[in-house]
Amino acid sequence: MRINRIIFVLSLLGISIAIYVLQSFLRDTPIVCLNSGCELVRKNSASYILGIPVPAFGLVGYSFLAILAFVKTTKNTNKRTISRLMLGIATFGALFVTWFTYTELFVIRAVCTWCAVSTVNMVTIFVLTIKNEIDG
Amino acid sequence: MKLTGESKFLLGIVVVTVALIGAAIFFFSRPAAPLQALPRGDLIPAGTYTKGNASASAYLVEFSDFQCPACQAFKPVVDEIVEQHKDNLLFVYRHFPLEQHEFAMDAAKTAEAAGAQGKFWEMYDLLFENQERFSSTTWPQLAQQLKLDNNQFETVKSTPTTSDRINRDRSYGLQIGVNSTPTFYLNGVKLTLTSYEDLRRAVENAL
Repeated sequence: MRINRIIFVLSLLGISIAIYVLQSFLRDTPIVCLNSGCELVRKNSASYILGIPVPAFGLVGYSFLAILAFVKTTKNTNKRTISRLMLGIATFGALFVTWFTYTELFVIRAVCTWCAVSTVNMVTIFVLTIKNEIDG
Repeated sequence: MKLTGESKFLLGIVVVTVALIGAAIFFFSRPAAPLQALPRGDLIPAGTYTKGNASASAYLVEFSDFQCPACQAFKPVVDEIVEQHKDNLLFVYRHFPLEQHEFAMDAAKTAEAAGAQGKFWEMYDLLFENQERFSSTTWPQLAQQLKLDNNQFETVKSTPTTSDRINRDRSYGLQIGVNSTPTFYLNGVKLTLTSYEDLRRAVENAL
């Protein structure tokens, strides 16, 4: 259960970051940043998929993970199934942040601090869900 | 859904997180800082073309691109404002040719070259009037229309001094945060406009 708790907390962290970055996208307000990377990434069209800002996807992904991690702690649930679901979502999440980091580095050529934090966060969650699966 | 002890613990974490975020928002929200006016001398360096009253205390600066459709759309409004307030307002043109506009730089040089023969503003009008048909042959045609000395025109148009001046305008614009055209500064403060009315109103209020 230790791992699940960590995944839950990291998912909340991911949700918080996603909300902060997303509101900055939507309201066009300044964002706390280590360099000008955040502004450059935000203004670039590569940060939108079908018109939806990338942090929105992060918000959805992290929310699912947080909810599942929570549900896993309730009684009468099939923990195996939930764990598998979480692994699936985390896998997709890890692929997503990898793709976006690639986009930042080679297309936009600027790195947004928060995206980097989210990348590390999501990959950590991914590793933890794998560990969960291995531990059985 | 039956909550276990662990479930309740996680809920507790959520509550604490929300409380922390709420507190952060509360304590870190600062009221928007009042906009600082940029120094007039920086916005109107020597050699910049101006219209209206040079000794007026009120001045409107436009960072513009001759190939920009929005700038063209704003022109009639700007012209009207400048004409209406020519005794109380100084209008200043700063070049900001955008990368994606193939002929913007040439157009800017054309205006500068015309300016060297005293016809900057006439060329400014002609350029916006002919924006849709910009090509490499447009420039001498327009120069001819204004009866400019062709040799001098071509010389000034291609001299590094001219492109330096235009690039200087653009660099300064980038430095102060200009990233699109037209961008207006009224008495040194950047204007946020959502309509032509906004510009009219801002100028009226300042005079």
